[in-house]
Amino acid sequence: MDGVQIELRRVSKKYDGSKALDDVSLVIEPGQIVALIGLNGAGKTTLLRCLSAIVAPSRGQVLYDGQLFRRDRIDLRRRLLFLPDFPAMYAHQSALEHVSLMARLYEREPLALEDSLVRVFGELDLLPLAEVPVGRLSRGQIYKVALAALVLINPELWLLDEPFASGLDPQGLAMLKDYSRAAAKAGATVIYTTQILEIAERFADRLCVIDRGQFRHIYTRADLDAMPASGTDSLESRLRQFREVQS
Amino acid sequence: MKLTPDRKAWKHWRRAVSRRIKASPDLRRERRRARPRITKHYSAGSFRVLVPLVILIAVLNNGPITALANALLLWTTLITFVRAQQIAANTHDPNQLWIWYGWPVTDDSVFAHQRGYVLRAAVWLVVDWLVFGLAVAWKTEAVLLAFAAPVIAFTQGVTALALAVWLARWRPQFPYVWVTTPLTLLVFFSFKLETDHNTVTAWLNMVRNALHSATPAGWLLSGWHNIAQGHATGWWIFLGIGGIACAALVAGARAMRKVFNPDALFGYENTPEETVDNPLPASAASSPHPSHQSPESHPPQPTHRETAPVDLSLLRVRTEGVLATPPGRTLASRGPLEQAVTWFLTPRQRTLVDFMVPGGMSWNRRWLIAVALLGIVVIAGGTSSPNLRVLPALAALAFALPVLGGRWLGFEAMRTFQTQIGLTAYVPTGFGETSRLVLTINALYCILAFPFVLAVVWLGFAPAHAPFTWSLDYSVRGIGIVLAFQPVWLVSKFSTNTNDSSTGRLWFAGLVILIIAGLIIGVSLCVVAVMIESTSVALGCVGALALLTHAGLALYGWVWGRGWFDLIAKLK
Repeated sequence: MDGVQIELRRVSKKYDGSKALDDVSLVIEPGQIVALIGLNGAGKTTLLRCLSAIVAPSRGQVLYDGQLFRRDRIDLRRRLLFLPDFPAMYAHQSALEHVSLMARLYEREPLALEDSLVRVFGELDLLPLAEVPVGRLSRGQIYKVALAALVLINPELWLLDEPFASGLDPQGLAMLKDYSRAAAKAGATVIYTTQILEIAERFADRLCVIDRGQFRHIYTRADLDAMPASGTDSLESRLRQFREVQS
Repeated sequence: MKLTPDRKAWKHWRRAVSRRIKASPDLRRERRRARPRITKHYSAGSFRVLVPLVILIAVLNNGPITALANALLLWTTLITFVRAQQIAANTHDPNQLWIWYGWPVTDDSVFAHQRGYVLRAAVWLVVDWLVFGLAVAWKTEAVLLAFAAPVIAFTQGVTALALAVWLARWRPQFPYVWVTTPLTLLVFFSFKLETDHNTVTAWLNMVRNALHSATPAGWLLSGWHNIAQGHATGWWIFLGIGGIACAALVAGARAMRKVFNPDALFGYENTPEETVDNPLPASAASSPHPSHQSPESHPPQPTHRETAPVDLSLLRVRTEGVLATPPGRTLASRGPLEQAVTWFLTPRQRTLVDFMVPGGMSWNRRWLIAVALLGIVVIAGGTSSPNLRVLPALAALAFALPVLGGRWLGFEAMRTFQTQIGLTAYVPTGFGETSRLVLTINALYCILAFPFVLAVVWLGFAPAHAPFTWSLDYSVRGIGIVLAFQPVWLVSKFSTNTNDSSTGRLWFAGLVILIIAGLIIGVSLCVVAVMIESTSVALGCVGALALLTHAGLALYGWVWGRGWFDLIAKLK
């Protein structure tokens, strides 16, 4: 996998006059796990939606490998998969049918994925549920089905919205981390949003703190390792400062 | 229990919050950032008040009373179907009821709340008839009609509502809104073409006569005409139909209450395995408001049997079976018609079909219903009121043709608290390829349906002694118009899950002007295509209409691809 270089060039997004993203610029090299953290309404999900073309920037550009990313660039859209916290799938289809359909939509040959599918389904405890309509599964199980599809399609860019608040059980959460690390090691970029500081601090090569539509801090792995767990310089304390400004 | 906000408390709290914000510059700045530029949005419903106003102006402006009464009759029929759709949605659609999900409110309170919505909306039809009745009485200086006005208004309103309630009770899932679009066009034509004497007017008269004879609204209108002519029997018609309608309304409300069961909608109740066949998006189908959903509260958990250890080798065989299934199976496996259509599709289009219509097209069932309706057309044509054949003929056409594009589930949306995002937004599918697929399938379907359409036009609409070529001519025109309007339907489906019509977009103002101009030209072309005697000119108009709508589709696809708007809409 070559991976994809992502560049946000002065991206702004307005909804009905209110700014969700405000002049954001960032370059993300392939093979990284990037955590987005911020207060509610800070612009985390909007950023993921901009990166997946669901939302179009009001200003600025998103570039993948130096190419302007637009909604009609299906070739570029096939290189990413956006997994919302409540994945979209048809209730009457089984997990197998869903994964098969998604693989075809991403132009993967389903039969070639068979061994991987059985392995991933086994790791996510989905084997007994493989033929159950997803409408009968719990929220966490539905998320596991969507995660399985993501892992099997294995795009170059993984966009995950609140994956750690998606109803996954401990085994699912552990596998999510393993899959993400493996994908990043292979050259993919994993960008996820979260509200859980402990996860963001430990499970990221870069941590971007968003506040009122702007990147306030971008920490590297080395910065995070050097950061104290408590005190005024801790990540928790820095995030609290943003809240104090607002209240 | 009232399920509406306490406005008094709301006002107090609002003042308290404002005071706090005003005291802090930071909070004031933050509010400015978060507050939308336009805080008040007007819905299409705000313009409902214009209908009685138009009626008033039309009557006072020396409009032909009979034409207006007929238009109002069609309008009442249209509103009946709209109301049926509204009632079905208010009582059976989880999206309308999720807000009560998990709240400590009784089903009776929720039902009473939903009933209040319907009743308030239903008042408008009474106002329409009241304005019409009083305006006619004032214009004709007939005192009797002034007394009759509130009576006919009330009986028309109650009758329409009672019918709507029972329609919603009978088939809550039926897309009643499908009937409304052709009826809207009929109302327009009926109003505009009264004085013309051509084939279309004759055909419209057939529809109106059929509605006069076959609907309670038509019987009530006959009663009103009766009173206008000084006969007392009209009052008895009002009394009889009004009494029956009141009783039917009360009984209908009780019947609706009996089947009103939010617990079942949200899956609190156990359901047999066979009933789980809802092809809607998983989260939308199980809970329309996923943020209220938790793994613990999600009811249809897999049973112990399903989570028991599985035979891995058997699963491998099944997995291989699913993965090896060729694309396009959902369409091809449904019937010979669908299979024939699948032959014309590319491998990519077959994959898209699996995504866009995962449950298949159900064409066979639609055709069976259409054939049954054709039988009714034949029977009605042989009765003493041959005009009655028009109604089943219209219904047969609606079933046989993809008049409004058909049911493409891929256009469904995932709903969150405030927004909905179309399923197509989450997968790498393009506007062009999806549009081409839908247009191709619907065109092939129309071609396959042509012999049937010809039979319906010949048996249902052709004037007496008209040659067979007349039916052939109008069948081609009809199918041409249906095909020409497919891009319009497509744009509306794509547009539903976008914010393209959000206020505050300058480019959108330009687009609106283009759309209005296009609509005027399109409707004019459509009218000419139907009305003109010359077949070649009519087909030219159909061709021009198709060109116009396809150009509109291409333009919309262009702005879609360039991200002029978001694939995210406010929750509808």
